[in-house]
Parts: sequence; structure tokens; C-alpha cells
Amino acid sequence: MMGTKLPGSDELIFVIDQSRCIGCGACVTACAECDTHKGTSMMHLDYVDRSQSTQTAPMVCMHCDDPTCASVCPADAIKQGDDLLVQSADQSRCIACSNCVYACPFGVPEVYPERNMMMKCDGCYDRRSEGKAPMCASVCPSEALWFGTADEFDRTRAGTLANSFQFGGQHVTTNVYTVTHELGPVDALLGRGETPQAVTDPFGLEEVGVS
Amino acid sequence: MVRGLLATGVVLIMVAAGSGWFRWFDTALAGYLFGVLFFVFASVYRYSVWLQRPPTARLRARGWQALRDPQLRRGNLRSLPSLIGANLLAQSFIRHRSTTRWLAHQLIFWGCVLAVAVTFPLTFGWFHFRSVGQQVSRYEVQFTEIGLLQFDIGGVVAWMFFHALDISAVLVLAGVGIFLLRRLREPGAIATQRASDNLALAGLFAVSITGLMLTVSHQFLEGAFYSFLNVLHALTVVLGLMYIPFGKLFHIFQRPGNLGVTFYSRAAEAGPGQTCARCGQEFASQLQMGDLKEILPQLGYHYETDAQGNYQDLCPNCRRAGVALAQSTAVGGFG
Repeated sequence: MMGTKLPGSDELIFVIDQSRCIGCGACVTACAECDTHKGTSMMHLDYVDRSQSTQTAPMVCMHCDDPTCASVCPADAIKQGDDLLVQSADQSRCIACSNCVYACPFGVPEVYPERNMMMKCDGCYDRRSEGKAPMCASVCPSEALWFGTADEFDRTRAGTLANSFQFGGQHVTTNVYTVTHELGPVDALLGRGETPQAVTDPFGLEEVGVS
Repeated sequence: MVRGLLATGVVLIMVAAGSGWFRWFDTALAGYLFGVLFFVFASVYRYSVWLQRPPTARLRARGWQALRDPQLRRGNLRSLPSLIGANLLAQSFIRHRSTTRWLAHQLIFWGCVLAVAVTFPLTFGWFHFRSVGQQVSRYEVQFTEIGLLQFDIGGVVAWMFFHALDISAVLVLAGVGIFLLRRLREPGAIATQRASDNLALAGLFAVSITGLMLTVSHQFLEGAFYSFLNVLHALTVVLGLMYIPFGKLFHIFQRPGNLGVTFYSRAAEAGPGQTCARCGQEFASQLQMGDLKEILPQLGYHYETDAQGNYQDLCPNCRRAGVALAQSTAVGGFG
């Protein structure tokens, strides 16, 4: 299927499954603990159509293979490391123009005008370089944010890993995975339609007689 | 390339004219002049290449356009001195990031400004010193043939002139020291530092310490090792000048782009806003979103959804919500 790249079984991967988010905010608080952006959380946690739905939406940087934010940066301040993680803006270069904020298909970067710079989730590359989970994934109680090997995911989780998205005519592959039922790109425009209904029995407990 | 060569030619002509066709040119500084000429060529070349990137070219054009906008021109020009003062000289935005970093950056910045103000005119032969008449204890600073200032060689003014580069070296070393301590102690700085950060600090340290050692040699060691130190210092300066256009310090030339961003933002705010296609909230200016939608296809991105629509018409909040809803739909719901 176009763009979907399955991870190796022992490859450590970061997975975001928004459908499992319970909106507790632990990820937001944990992210702010990080030394690289002390006291400022890079984690987005939004209510989605609050009047119609209880769904909440966490969002981290998806670390695109070909990051739009970096391409539209006039100061060439956004770099991708050898680990394929897209780093926060180079502080000496960023001129806070906000191009990245408005171009990112996932709505991730934020500009802090008084600091004259953009900051965003850098995937906790310092922790990951030591094999540790990103801060947000290490505290997520519902495992909406999850870090582990693909093999471990297959053994413990339902769903299929996917890392490709369709935004109109633009296909985007990412280094952070999401969960779907089928291989293939997640069409972001599906999200413009009706609000999906809550799953009343997400773990199939009723089927096995546990209530 | 052509612009780089032209700029180098202009500097060379200014050197020739300013030094009385090399009459006052100090040949002992010839190595430094070659370093400066390479620095000018490489900086203009790199800057020209940087300006050709579509987003950079657009920002540059919009910045100048906004500065000259008839309705905004007066306010823009009135605010220009304070913008230059706050953003480029006082660099107050760095203080909002970290007071320690701001202090270190200010020390290095003013140390380098002082060093450039002293060395470039001397290297170009624009300024030179000479005795006043037959008075060996009195010097005069001359700009080409024009005498500017006379002073006693034992006085405070003389000390300031003769030790200006020592002062700049001390300022730079203090700044480098603070940055280095930060990089050794702060976990955040240790995690985010790159090799280029330390290379820039090492370069500044090398130039400053070898310069100070020249003073130590002639003041306290009766000139011991002076020739060696002289060559070593020249080498560090020339290598440093060659590094600036291609390393971390290229941000010196990029930072003024922030003034263009300010004028661009003002023009954008004065125009109509861009409303989100999903929630209907205003989230940006039509000017900037229009520019982005033109630049993206030039860069190979195609976010068009149909003949009229564009994914970029969604605000960042709705993009995040949209991805979450699409993913939840793909797994049959949330919960």
C-alpha cells in the first residue's frame, strides 16, 4: 500500500492512537518536565467538538519523512537528524515568521513571539537515543501514546500500524505511527465529516461475558 | 558567485582608495586582508544562495514591500530604530529564552563588534597612527590624511586604543566561558547541543586567547614567542573568517530578516484575515496563507483538496482535531 512502511519487529517505535485518549493531561504535564524546553509543554491536547463529543485529541510531532515545516522555513532553521526526527527550530536561526505553524499538516509547531522562536515536539530524541520512551508515552495511562517494539505492539495491541496520511493531494509518511484497521494512508479529510461515535465496548469485554 | 566577486571587488577598491592607494596599508596585516576578502566573497555568495529559496525570497520581497507600504511606511520607519535597538543590538528576545544566555550572547556580540570596529579599518589602511610633529610622546589618529584625534601615549585614551582588542577578547572569553559552563552543566543544553555549537565557541576562544597572549608576550615576557603567537593568531582569525559564512555564525546575517517579519506581520494584520474552513475562526492573515499556498507547490507539496479547496485553509487546531477524528473513524470509533 502506498507509503506505508512496516517497522522491523525489534525496531523501537512511537505510536499515537488518538481513539484511546481519555484526556487526562498527564502527557502535557510530563512533556513540560523536559530539560530541553523547561516548563513549556510541547504536547497538544485538544477537545474535539466538545458540544457533541467527549473525544480528546493528543498530538505530537509526527516527524514526517519530508517535513513541510522545514521546507517552508525561510531561515532554514528546522533540521532533521540522522535518527529521522525533525528537531525544534534552531534557536540562532529562527526568525519567528510562523510559516511552519501554518504549513504543518498536523498543526504541531507553535511560535513564541517574545522569544522570537518556534518550538515543537522533538520526539524526546535525547531519551530515545538511550532507548527510553518519550516523556508523554512514559506516563500515558491509556496507551494512546505508546513506545515499544513492533513485535510487542502485535502481541499486546489491536489494530494495524500505519504511518502514511493523505491531506488532499499530498501524501505524507511519518516516523511516528498511528493505528488503523487496515494498511494504507489515513485520509485526514475524513475528519471533516461526522464526529465518530464512542465505542461502548472497546476491549470486547461484553463478547467474552465480562461486564 | 558574480555578486560575491563584485562585493569583493568593491571592498578591494575601498581598501585601495581609503589607504591612499596602499600608501598607509600595513603589509603586516596582508594575511588578515585576504581573510576579510574571502569572508566577504563567501558571505555574499552564501547569502545570495540562501535568498533564492522560495520561502526566503518571498519573505524578503514581502518585508521590503511592507516597509514601503504607503499606509504603513511612516509607522515602520518610526519604529525602525527601536526595532534595531531591541532585536539586533540589545537582543531582548534572547533574555526571554534565558537570562544567562542573553548575558553570554551580549558579551560575545559587543566584544566582536568592538574587535571588528578596530581591526577592519586598520586592516584596510583607513586608519593609522603617527607622531605629532617631533613629539614622540604624542600620537594622532588619522583617517586617510585627515587627523581626527591627538593623545598622549601614556594617557587613558592611548591605553584604550592600544588595548581595545584586549578588552574585546576579555568580553568574548567571558561570554564563551558562560556558554561553556552552560553546556557542561545544564541537561537541556547538553541534550540539544550540536558539534557546530562547540566549534563556534572553540573558534571564538582560539581567536581571543591567542590575541591576549600577544599582549602577555610583549608586556610580561619581553616578546618571547611573539612571532609564533602572531602567526597563530592570524591563522585563527583567518580560519574564523572563513568559517562564519558556512557555520553557525551565519545567523549574524539571517537575524535582520526578523525586521522583515515584523513589517510583513504588520501588513498582514492590516489586511483581511484567513478564516478556518472547518470552525470558521480567524487564525492567520490571508496575505501569509496566500503566500504559503503559492510557495508550497513550488517546493513540491500539493495540499489542494479540489479545484477550490486547500487543506491549508484549516486552522492548526482543526488540523489536529481532523487527524484525530480520521484516525478514530479508521478504527471504528473512540473510547
